[in-house]
Amino acid sequence: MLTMEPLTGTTIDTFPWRNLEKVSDLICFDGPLLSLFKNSEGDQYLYYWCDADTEVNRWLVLRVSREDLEAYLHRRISLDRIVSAPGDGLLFALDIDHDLKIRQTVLLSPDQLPASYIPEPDSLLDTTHSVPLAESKYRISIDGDWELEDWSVFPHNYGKAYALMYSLFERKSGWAYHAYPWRGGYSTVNFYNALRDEIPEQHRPQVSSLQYSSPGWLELRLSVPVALLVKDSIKAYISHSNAREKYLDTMKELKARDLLGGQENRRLSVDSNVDSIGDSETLSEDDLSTIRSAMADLEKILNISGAVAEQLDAVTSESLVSLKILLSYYRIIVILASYELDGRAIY
Amino acid sequence: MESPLQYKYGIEINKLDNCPPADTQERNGEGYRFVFDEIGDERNFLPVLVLNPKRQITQTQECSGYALSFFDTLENARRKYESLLRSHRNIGKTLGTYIASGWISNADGFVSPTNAGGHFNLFEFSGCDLSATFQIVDKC
Repeated sequence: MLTMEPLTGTTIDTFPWRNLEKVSDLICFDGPLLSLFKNSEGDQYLYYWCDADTEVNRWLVLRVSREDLEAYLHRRISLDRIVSAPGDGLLFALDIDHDLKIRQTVLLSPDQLPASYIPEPDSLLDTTHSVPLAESKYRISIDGDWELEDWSVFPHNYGKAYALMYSLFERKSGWAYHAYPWRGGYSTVNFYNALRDEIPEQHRPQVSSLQYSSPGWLELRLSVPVALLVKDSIKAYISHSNAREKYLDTMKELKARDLLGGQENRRLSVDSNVDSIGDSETLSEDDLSTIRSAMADLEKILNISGAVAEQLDAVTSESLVSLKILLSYYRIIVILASYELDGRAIY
Repeated sequence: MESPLQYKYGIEINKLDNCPPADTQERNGEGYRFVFDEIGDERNFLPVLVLNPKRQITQTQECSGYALSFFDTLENARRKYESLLRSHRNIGKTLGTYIASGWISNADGFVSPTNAGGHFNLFEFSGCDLSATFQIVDKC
């Protein structure tokens, strides 16, 4: 006989967070196991499946801060940290039946959770072997006047940002990171094309619905955790008032050191195959120090951290290439952010 | 491609766009699936939207909700289960705690492409009864 864990919280009549809108499933196997919701103010909530009997499934519902959600999606913190320390210091256990009716609502504090409801300490988000998130949708609010050209510029740049984050988040093999010399525009164009081609068809962004009105929306079918990483970068860029100054300083410094374009190869080359030369053989300690400092600034401005940042370092194995990729990503984010800054898009 | 009405859940599938997806294909090969301890348990081979109670939060009817999950190897099935167990200690209550294996043929239905983790979905044809051919091979 299938039974659920007894709960020691307070049973209440009405679940107070009734008007939540589903954003996406974050963990899914034969149905959702962890789903992200939001309210009309943009506050984010998680539905975490925790138990079942023959009549109902039990879900824990908790508010999650943007910071914690970000950290979880970046694999910086595990799920147990989120479940055992919910945003409001409380959570609800909902027993939901086959017809999706709530049979029981129990208010709990984290210390009232049965041990089996708390994920393992190493429960980092794992998408490596996940079921495709092909049915996840992500909605971008749109408003204002869009010119014909915007319908080319916006998806083109969004697709590039998504492709890079997808590649790093999903820990793709990374041949594209070594296939191009990063000596100018040719490399950048082909690099992003190669990243896009690596995305499995079921995870490539597809327009699910579109309403062009004021306000309207663009709904995409894609991997939502990846879309949230792009969103994080845009929001982080917007919040950094000195982002442009830092970017220009970096470009100026790289130019002064002949590290832009292909000039570093002319200056340093003893071997035309730059991809086979490690940093230590091609760059001075001073160059490396400058590059690392610029990387740290850009990662902060673009909110690239945790496993995603580590993956970029690992996959390029050259800090100058990593920096050039981040600089190109910065330029893409600037374009995408401009749509939010002038009120034409909210990610 | 079979007409939707020849699928076991054809009536439901027929109401959904692009279902089964256009990239489903034939398969002749071994499949591994999480099951409960008795192979005849009625929950073992029911898709998520057919199970009672279904593990859903919203009324959304997704195409994959009428498919059965499988893995191409025992190792991939184990790896996925371990990952799910880290995030959901009671996962066995909804998926079972055993792995069964059996042969999936063209006559059973069409499958989605296998993903990097070895997972694929089977959209069963009418008359498909995998409980008769699958056997428990391991405990999760």
